[in-house]
Amino acid sequence: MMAGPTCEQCGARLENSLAVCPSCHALQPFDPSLSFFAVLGVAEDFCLDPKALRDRALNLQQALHPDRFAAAAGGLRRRSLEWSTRVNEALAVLGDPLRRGGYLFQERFGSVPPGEDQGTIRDPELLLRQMECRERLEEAVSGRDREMLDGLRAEVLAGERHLEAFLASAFAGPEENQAGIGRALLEWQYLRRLRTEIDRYEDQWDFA
Amino acid sequence: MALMQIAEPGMSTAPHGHRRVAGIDLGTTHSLVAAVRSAIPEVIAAADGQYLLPSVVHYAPGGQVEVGHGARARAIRDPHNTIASVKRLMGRGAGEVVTLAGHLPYVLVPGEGMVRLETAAGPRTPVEVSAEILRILGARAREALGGELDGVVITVPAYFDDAQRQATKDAARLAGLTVLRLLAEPTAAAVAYGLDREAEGIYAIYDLGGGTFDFSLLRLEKGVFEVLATAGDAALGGDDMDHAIAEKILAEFPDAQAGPSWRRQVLQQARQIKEDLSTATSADTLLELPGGETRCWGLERARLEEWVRPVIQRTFASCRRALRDAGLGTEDVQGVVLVGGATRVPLLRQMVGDFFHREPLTDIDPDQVVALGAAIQADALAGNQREGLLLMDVLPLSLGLETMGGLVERIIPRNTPIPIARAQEFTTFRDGQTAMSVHVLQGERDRVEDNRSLARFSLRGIPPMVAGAARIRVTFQVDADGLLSASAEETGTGIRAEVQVRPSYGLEDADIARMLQDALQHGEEDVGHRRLAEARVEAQRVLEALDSALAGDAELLGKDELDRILQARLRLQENLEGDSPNAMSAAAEAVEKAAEVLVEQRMNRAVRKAVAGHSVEEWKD
Repeated sequence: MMAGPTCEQCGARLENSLAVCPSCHALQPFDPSLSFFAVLGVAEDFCLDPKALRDRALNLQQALHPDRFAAAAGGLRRRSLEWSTRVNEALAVLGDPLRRGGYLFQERFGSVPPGEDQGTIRDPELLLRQMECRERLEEAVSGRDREMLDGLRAEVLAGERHLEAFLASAFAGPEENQAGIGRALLEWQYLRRLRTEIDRYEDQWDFA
Repeated sequence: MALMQIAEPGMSTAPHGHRRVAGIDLGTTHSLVAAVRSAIPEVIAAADGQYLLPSVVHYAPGGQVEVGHGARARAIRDPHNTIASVKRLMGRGAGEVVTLAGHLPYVLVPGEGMVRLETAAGPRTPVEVSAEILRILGARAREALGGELDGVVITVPAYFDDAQRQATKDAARLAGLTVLRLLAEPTAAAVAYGLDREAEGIYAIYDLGGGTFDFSLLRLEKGVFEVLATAGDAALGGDDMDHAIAEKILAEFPDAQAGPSWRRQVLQQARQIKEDLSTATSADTLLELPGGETRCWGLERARLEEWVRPVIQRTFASCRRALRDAGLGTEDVQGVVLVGGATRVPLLRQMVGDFFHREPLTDIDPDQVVALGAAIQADALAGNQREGLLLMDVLPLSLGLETMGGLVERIIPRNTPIPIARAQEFTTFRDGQTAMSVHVLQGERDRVEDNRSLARFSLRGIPPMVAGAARIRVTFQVDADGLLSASAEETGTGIRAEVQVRPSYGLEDADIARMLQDALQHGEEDVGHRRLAEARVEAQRVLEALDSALAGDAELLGKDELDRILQARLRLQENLEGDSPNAMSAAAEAVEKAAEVLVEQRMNRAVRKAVAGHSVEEWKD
């Protein structure tokens, strides 16, 4: 028989959630070492259904949000704030496939995925694609060309979808391809930043 | 185990008696309190039967304080000691309200740090002024509920930043009230309509208060209210309709001296006219001219609607922005709730209905709806009823840190559900460095000076190491009320660094505020930059307005008048390059003063044209 975690109050087995006892509903001590996957009680996987994640997080918040403990003792209020915060953090990270990929990379390989802060892009092909995108963004911006900007955005989105599909199979693959996954995450970060900039320019145009 | 005695996670079965709690809508133009009694939420009226307390505080030389209708009545005779719309100043730095000050009749105490208002009873902070309002409402609730209050829920605009929320909480503390929760106003409105008992859906809350416009999109799912997006304009409200109407009235009586009392009277009449014309199609008003003469003045609703239409139109920019932030279209919205007295204007209801392609919800009095929702939430928090209700807010503005080159690195994006935390690692850049400072900002802009300075953290007690070896993990925590705290740890050694939070524009209480003045010296330069930038923007606006007026109507002026204006314009242009915000503002004021004659002439001509049967559209800018 497996000895899983049990409720500190009634001793019942904690199954789906390690935060709230399914039997007596007591809020368990906060464990900061739990992964975001464990906090939400979902499989440690790249392919997660965003709707299911949200449902899971909202169900948990119903039980452990600080408003549920407004009249409780200080220690329990603190515990509730810690759990509630961690559930929202987990949803923010796992709900975004790019951040989820980065987090999973760290969990799997024990190191942070390659990012800009760790040096320049080594992959010349990736570098070239990035520079080309930048040039087109600047051209669209200087010409205030909404159509061109929309076209660029569509391409960026398609690129992001492609990377997401690649990561889904790479993370699930039998032999893990750390370098390939790292490169895909890096490229995705660039595309995401580009998209943020495109959106920002459009914002400025709309309200100029 | 020490925590074993705690039996239930939900407090609904906690062995308390019925707890006395209330909900307070602390508004810009008026405030009110409500409570749930016998399972029915209702507003609590004063002894005279009125439930709306004007958010106006009058300070007499002897130190007596008057709040509400009495204070508002004194506004006409004693404008400098009558503080209205103090909510606009909550959590603001003195440097930030320089541009606002031109529109406020009271005197600001010069200096940096938190704003102070000069009154006959001495300088007062907005926190203290708000506390006076809260004290009255608290007493009202105590009397109605028959005993000391266990706590209150106070509503704040959804986009209130950390400093503004903290200031609101401080005001409650000064007033002797325990805050159970700060609740976003739109969320409160949705709760009042019982939308939390509806099926899942997206709801829009359109709140045109006296001084602020606040548009929010809420998603209801599994009994959880989540603010999807908020947008608004902190300088747009029903007051702006009143001002627009008042300007037209003032223009009708060009001979009257524009003293503060006359302006106040016209402004109050404008509000009355707006209210009258919300039900009637025409209204007559008695105006007491400065000379003592009384004049009867009539107005048709259609004409008033043309005056206020631009104000209403401005609100839709925020609506569109929030919809886009949330990635939604108007067709996704299942219901629109109207909040704020200004939404009684029939034209507004029609325009909102057209914008969303559906009739807005108007069953509950738009003045009461927020307070009623706050009362229901207070009741739920106290465990008196409604177990299922859970309101989850989002961070209204992004949190960021100052990085090299005066830029901001965003660490928690806006609209993230709260509570939330984010850890950030820092390192030392000098050998043996034992302290560092972190500057936290709130806002969406890239440059430090374009965001609100929230706090400066001093990290001390870092173990001395070679540069770059220390790893300091700073955790920023935003609680369910949207308030920030921080903790820090050196991850290698596990040593926890001491964190000192110095709110940039907040205060603990009056005493600490004075101590804070010293600490804020470091923020002086920032504030200076901002003042300069704001003064420059304002000056440029004045120049542009003048140039466009001159381009069209210079022929209305005599040669002397034109010369005076052009000279003032030249001085302002010279000052624009300088670095003194005061000189710039003074020069801009001089231009406005010199141009008064032009404004008057343009108004006169416009009015003559309108009277001569031309359509209003022809002379509208």
